[in-house]
Amino acid sequence: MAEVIIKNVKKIYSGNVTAVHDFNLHIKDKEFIVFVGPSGCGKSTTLRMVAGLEDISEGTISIDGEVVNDLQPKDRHISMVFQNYALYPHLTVYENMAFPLRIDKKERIMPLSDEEKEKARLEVEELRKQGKNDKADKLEDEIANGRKQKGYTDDQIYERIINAAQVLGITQFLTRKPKAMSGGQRQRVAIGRAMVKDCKVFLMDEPLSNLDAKLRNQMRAEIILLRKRINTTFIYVTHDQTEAMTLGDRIVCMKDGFIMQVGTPTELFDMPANLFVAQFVGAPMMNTVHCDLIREGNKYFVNPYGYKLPVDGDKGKALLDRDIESRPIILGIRPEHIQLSSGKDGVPVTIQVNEMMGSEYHLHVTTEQGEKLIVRIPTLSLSDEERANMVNGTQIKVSFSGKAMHFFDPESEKNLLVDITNADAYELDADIVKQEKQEELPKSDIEE
Amino acid sequence: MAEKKSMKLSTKRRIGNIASYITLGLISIIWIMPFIFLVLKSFDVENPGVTSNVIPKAFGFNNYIYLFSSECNFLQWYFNTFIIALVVCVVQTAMQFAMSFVLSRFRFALRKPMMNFMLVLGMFPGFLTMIVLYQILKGIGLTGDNAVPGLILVYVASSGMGYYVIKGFLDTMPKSLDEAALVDGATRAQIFLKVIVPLCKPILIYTILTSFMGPWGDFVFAYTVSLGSQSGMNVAAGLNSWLSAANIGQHFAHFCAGGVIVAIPVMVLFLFLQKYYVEGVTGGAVKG
Repeated sequence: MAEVIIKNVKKIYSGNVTAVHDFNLHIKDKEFIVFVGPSGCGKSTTLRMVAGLEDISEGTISIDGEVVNDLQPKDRHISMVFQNYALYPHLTVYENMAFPLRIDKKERIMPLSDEEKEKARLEVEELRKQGKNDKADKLEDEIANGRKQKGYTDDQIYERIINAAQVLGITQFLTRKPKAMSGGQRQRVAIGRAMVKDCKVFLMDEPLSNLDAKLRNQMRAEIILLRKRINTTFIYVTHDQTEAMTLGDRIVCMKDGFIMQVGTPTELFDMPANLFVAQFVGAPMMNTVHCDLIREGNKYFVNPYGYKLPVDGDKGKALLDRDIESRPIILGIRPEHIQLSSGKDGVPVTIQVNEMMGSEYHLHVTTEQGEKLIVRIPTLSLSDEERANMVNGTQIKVSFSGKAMHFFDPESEKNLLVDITNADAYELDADIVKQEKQEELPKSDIEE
Repeated sequence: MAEKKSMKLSTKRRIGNIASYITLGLISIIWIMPFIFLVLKSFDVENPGVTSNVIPKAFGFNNYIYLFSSECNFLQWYFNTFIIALVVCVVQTAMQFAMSFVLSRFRFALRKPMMNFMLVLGMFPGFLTMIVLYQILKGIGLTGDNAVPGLILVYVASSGMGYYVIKGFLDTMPKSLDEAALVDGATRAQIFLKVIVPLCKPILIYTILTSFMGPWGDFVFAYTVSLGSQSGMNVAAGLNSWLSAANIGQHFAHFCAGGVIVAIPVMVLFLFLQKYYVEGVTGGAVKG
C-alpha cells in the first residue's frame, strides 16, 4: 500500500509569495495521478514537496501512512524522473542506473538465488557432519527467509539493471555515456534509473517536455505500458493536457497554486468545474461567448451571436432538475461540437484562417458580431467541393448541438451544472479523516 | 568597377595583415628575448657574471652542476618551494571547491553579503597586509628559519576567497543533478565527491595549476617572511640573493640556470594539462 495523502499543504516562499494554497488530495494506492496546469500554477512545487526537494510551509504529506514532512528524499521511498533527465554525464548508462543501488547501504533481507541456495544446502550438510548445528540452523534460516545484507551485491545490481534495460529497450546502450544518446534514449535511462530502486511512489516531473512531438507520443505509450509493469503509485506533472488525458487515472488541474478540479479525464472534459478547466482541457480550446440562458416553461434556450438555440438532451434536463431560471451566462462550446450547417438555420460566419491538420480542419471564423470561434471539422465529413470552398473569406453556416453546451456563471466562472466548489471538493475522503482521528497519531511523530 | 573595388579591399586587408604581423612579431621578440638570454646564459661556462654578449663563448653544464652541488643551498630552496606549493595546492583546491559548492548550492542567511564582502576584500592588493602578516608570523615564530610553515599558513588562509571561477562553473551545472542524487539516496558529501567533482575536471585542473603557481613563483612575501634565512627561503628569494651587488659577478649564470630549473616543472605541467586548462578557463562561460 502506498497512498499519498496531502493535507492542507501550503508553500510560501520568502517575500510572502504563496506558490501553493491549501492543497488537499488523497492519492490512492497504485493510482496514476497527473498534476496539470499552466506554468507557475504550483504543480511542480507540489511534486517537489512530495519528493522532499522543497520544504513544506504548512500542512502534512504522508506516504504509506507515514508523515514525511521532515524526512530526507532518500528516506521517503520515492523515485523521480526529471524533465532534463538529470543523468550523471560522467557515468555510463549502466553506472547511472547502478548509482542509487550502489549508494544504498541500508540493511535488508534479500532472498537467496537458486545457485546460492544449493551452495548453502551443501554447506549445511557439511556443518551438520561436523556437529556445528548452530551455524547450520542459521544457514537453513537464511535459505528459507533470506539473508541479511547491507546494500546490494554486484550480481543483484546487474540483475536489476538488465531487467530494467530489457523492459526499456536500452540494453545495447549500457556502456555508452549519456552524451552519446538521443533525448528519447536518455529519458529511458532516467526512467530506468528510477525503476531499479524499490520505491513506493514514482514521481515524474514533465518527463516528456524535452522531446519532439513524435517521440513524445511514442514515450507516452511506453509510460502507459511501464505503469502496467511497475504497478505502483505514480504522480506525474505536465503542462500538456494531452499527456494528462491519456495517462492519468485522475487529473488534478491547477491554476495559481489552487486546485481547480480533480477528476477522471472524462469528468474534466465533459463536466469541467469552471471556465479555466473547460478551456485548459481539450484542443483546440473551448469557444466561449457571453449570452443569456432563457427559460420558457420547461424548456431552455441560449442566444449566442443573436441566434436563439434550444438546449436539449441531458443538459436541458440537468438545468431543469436544478430549477435554474433565466440568467446571463458564459456559454462554452467545444470546437468539435460545432457542425457545418447546410440548411437555412445556423449562425453565418466567415472563415479567417483555415488550418489543415490532415485528419481535420481547424477553422478560425468570425461571426457577424465580430466574435471569434474555432470550428473543428473532420476532413472525411466534407465532399471535395466543400473542401475546395474552405478558403479564407468564405461565408459558411455553423450550428451547435445543445447536448454539448457548457454553462458558466459570468462572475464566478463556475459551471452551473457541476456542484463541486474549490473549497469543499477535494478535502480528504471522509473515511480517511475518520481513520486518522481514530489512530490519533502522536504529535511527536508529526513533528519529528 | 566591382573588380576594382574588390582588389582594393584585398590590398587593404593585406596591408592590414602585414602591419599586424610586424607589430605582433616585434612584441613577441621583446617578450621572448629575456627568456632566450636566460637560457643561453645558463650554459655560459666562461663568465659567471653579467656579460654584454648574448651568445656565450663557451657552452657547458657547469652552472647546473653547481646548483645541485653542496656548495649552494639551491636544492634546499627548491625543496622548500615544492613543499609550500604542494601543500598549498592541495589545501587551496579542496577549500576552494568546498567553498564554491556551498555558495553555489546552498542558500543561507548572509550568503550574499559574505560574497560581496569577500569580493571587496579581494580587491585590496596583498602587499597592503604584508607588514601586518609579517608581525603576526614573527609573533608566533613562523619567520626566518620557520618561514615554510608560515608561508603555507598565509597562502592557505586566503584560499576561500578565490571561489569565483569555480562557483561560476558550478552555477552552470543543473541543480537537478544534485536533486537526482538526493532522491537516489546520496548525502551532500557524496553528491559533492561522486557527482560534482568528477564533472569539474577542467576547472579542477585549472585550480590545481593556479594554486600551485601562486606560491611556486612568489617572491615578495617569501622574501619578507624568510628574512634572509638560507633554510627558510623559497627558490625565488634564494635566487634573488645571488643578484646582490656582492654576488652578481659570481652567480649571475647560476641564477639563470636556477631560473630554467624553476620553469621546467611548470612548463611540463602546462604542456600536459593545457587542454583541460583552456577548457577550465572558458568552460564556465559557455557550458550549459
